[in-house]
Amino acid sequence: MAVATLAVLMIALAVVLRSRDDGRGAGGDAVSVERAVRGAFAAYNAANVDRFLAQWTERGFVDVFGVTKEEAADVPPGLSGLRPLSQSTVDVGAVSHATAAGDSARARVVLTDLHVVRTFDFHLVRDGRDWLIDEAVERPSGVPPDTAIVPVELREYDIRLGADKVARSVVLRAANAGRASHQLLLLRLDDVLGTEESIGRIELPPGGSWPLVLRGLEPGRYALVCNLLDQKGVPHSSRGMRAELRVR
Amino acid sequence: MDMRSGLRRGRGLAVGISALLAASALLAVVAPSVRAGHGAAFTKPLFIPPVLSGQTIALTAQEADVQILDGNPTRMWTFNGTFPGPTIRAQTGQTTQVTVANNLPSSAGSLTLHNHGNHSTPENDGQPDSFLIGPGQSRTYTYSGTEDGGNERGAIQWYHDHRMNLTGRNVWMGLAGMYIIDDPADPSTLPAGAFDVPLILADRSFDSQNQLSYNFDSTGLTGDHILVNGVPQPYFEVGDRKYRFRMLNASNLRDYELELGNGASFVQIGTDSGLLPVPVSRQRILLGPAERVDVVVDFAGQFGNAIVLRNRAATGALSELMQFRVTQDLAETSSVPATLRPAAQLGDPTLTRTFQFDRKSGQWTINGLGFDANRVDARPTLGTTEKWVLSNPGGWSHLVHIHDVDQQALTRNGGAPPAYETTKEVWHIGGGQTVEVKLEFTDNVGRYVFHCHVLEHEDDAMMTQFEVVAPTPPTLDTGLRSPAAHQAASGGDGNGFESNAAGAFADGSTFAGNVDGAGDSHDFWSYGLGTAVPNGATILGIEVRLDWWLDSVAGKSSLSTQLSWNGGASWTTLKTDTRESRREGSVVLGGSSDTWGRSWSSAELADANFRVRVVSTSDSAVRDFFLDWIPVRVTYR
Repeated sequence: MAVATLAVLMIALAVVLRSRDDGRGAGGDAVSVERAVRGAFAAYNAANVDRFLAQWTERGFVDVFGVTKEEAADVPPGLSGLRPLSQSTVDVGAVSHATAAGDSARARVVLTDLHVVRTFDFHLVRDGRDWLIDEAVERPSGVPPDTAIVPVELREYDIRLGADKVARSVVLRAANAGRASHQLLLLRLDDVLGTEESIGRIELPPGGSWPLVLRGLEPGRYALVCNLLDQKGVPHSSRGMRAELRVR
Repeated sequence: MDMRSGLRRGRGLAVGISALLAASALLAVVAPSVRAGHGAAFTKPLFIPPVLSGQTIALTAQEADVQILDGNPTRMWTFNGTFPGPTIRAQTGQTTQVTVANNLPSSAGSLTLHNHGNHSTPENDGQPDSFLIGPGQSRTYTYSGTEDGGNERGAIQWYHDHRMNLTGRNVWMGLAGMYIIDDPADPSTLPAGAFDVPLILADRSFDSQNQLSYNFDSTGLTGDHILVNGVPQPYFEVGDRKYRFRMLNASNLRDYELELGNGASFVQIGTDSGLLPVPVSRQRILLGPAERVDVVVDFAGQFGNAIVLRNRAATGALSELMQFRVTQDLAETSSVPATLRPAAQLGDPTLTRTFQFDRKSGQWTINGLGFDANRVDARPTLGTTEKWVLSNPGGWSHLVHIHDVDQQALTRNGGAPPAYETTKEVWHIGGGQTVEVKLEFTDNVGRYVFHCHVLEHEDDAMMTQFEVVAPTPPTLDTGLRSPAAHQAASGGDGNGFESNAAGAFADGSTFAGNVDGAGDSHDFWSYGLGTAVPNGATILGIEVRLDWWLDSVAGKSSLSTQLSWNGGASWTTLKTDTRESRREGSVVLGGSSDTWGRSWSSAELADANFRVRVVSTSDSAVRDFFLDWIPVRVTYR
């Protein structure tokens, strides 16, 4: 099951939400949940750190970032494992399935983090007049209309692409057909600067699959690599797990 | 102004919240105060640091008031009163001694000077917590200018303080300068003299009184002014010809993406570690902290024009670093050859090590561990080449700097590294990325550090040590060597092996006999070991083989040996073989790691000194002992 196989992608967010009503009525709660979710990411996009930190419960912050909010105030959080957000602004797309019952609420949120479209199911709990998002489970994002799906097969030690030229919006459906865990790290190759810029990455256990939904990629050359290390410390990429992709 | 634009730019998913927080921290520092000013862009001339050359260099770390912005001068910690410090130009192959006096206020504490990029012995490498220069004290660093049997390659290096936990502060305060190794083996046609110009990029923040403020932040510090050779947005008057610019990013955290405002390309001729095999044309250059790039810019045809050196990694004033004004009509006297220097041959790796640069438990780490002066994470052997896999599973960029040794990129994310990323010693590793390098450990044994060169990452423990160890010499032995002399010793009936004792000089054919031998002793020597074992060798073990038998196994009998190291005056304790047989058998007393209870010198193995005594023991007075051979083998290294 995708969610189980992508345990590494599961995050727990806890956002203090400022609800305008007192939570009376499921319809009002659903609206306030959506508003609160959008407000949280607006704080992020506005680089409003005080507000952003204030929106996290301690437990949720530690769950996601591995450091306390106090540590994070001085130092960036650990960022080992999944980075839910990038420095660039996060576009909040559809908020759906918003429901509230008593002190519990749920919402499904589609975020675009730079070029990667990601979908989370938030679980929220009420805390006085505020909502806390107690958990955020990433789920596979849907394929946008008119977007090609390119299969990407990962195995020891090879990456096979269903196409080597793609449009600026595309879904790379990664499947791990190997016996070890593998990574799909998407790098944009800047031929002028000569650099390789990390765009997004996922990790898959053997048998796992996941869609990397991409939107608005810059035209140019990209590399798909697995930089996990084998038992001898050799990167899988150096053993052949590297492929190139051209975005037109 | 978008304050985030001046920060290390995010690389997609890999940066995350950290950059947001860093951006905010910067806002907090900058926003409340009136921002210090430096007037209009390109109104101040470029400062060229004074040049120190020769084999004896004196640097004094001292406070100085440096005019950087308009208004108040800035009190800095300088070398010799300037920022950047003097440019040292050392001749390759020549020993250069740099004496550093620490005349800073005692509150600055001890200093240590790292010649970044140099091949130095450990005590001259600027160790963070040893060989320090206390307040009021001085220390002389000696650089041989040689490497691996030849001259060190010409290169752009730099010197800076490297004090434990305080490098970020000390460099921010001004303790840095360029160190160039001039190498006659480099092409002579490259721009030289006044056309060979250092450009040192460093950003700083100032308070309302134009003073530097350093508030440690383990994400790394950025400033709101970018200085070129200590001057904000300077201009530099040039002629319409080629110039060689040796560019150093001496910033604590900030990356630069350099380009020429007229759209022309740089011709990159060198890296951190000297000239490239061939020039590489580059329109834009990413230069991370501590990286250097050696470029030629051709201003031919630009007479009357002004060309801005731009930084695409920022906006506003931070994006315009300096201006070249082409005001002189000059003849071209230089050229860039099609080939520069072949890459150094670093050998083939025989061992792979992996180092992950990541953040764990609120601290920057290497392989999950922060710096520990008592821990060494790699012990490469002198004279070998290793492959190190440098990976960054986290989201922040790291600049990996490995001290002392020559390094070359093997792969970047599994692909071939770019043409300009061959021999270097600072590796820019973005989030999720992996670089494989090979390193050759030559000349020096001892401990060195390697670390992230984002100085606050380094100070917050993203540093560790490797120790180059001398190879273990091979273990050798003399083979079994026979005696050539013998003599009966006292004991028993006093005649030792009275029958054909020389029969024990060789295996087979004849043998020595000791009739009614109980209590007899016999000495053998002249083994030729003194010439077989080299002077100064470490003696690891001595074996004595006895090929012997008895006339009868009735009663209890044995054969023993002991060794002398001084011609028979002194003897080791006896080793005894109690195996009784009427058939010839071999036994070895001692062994390849048995030194018979003492330390031996090779001189003690000389024929005049080394003796083997055989003692026959029996509870029967009529027991006969037979000895076919008594060779000796010495194991040594």
